[in-house]
Amino acid sequence: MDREYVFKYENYPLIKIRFHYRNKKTPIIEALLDSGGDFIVIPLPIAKFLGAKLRETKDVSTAGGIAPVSKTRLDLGIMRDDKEDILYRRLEVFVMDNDDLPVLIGRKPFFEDFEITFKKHKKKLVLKRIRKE
Amino acid sequence: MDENADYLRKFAGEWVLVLKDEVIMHGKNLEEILEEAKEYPDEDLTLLRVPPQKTIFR
Repeated sequence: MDREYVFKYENYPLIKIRFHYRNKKTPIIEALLDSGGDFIVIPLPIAKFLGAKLRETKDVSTAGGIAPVSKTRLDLGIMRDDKEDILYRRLEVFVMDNDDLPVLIGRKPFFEDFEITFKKHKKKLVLKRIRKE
Repeated sequence: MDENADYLRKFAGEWVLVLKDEVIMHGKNLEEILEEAKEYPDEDLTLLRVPPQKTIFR
């Protein structure tokens, strides 16, 4: 059976994740599934907390205008009940110097690797791993 | 956040650090929140940003 990750879904589509960099890890983070975004985006303090190495990249176009960003590579785990499954190693993550930004889980790679069902009426958000052939 | 959405609404626009079910710190400065997080076992800590009342993400 394909592995499923089920989260409560009331006001916003939030999933519980954790970032790792070398031997450091963040608290569990409630991150917003952002179907309108291309990539995973985190605020700069999270990258600093992990001591992650940053690389400058080109400014990117966002809904709020052109914004400077950096990139880093982090491991990402997702919470399943009280346990964590490490889903991705050295995943490319964009970093913005903006505390007003939640952690955004854009389409790449989550929307490519999971069938995502928003069951608002059941207050559930279900991510089902797609088995690639 | 969804489990306690009504309770957390008073922290709209802020980052909130939760230890088990207890809010231990909140505010707009994420760096300060994460500094506080170092004092607690990370297995029991959750970090979230409560969206402002009217939100356009990004």
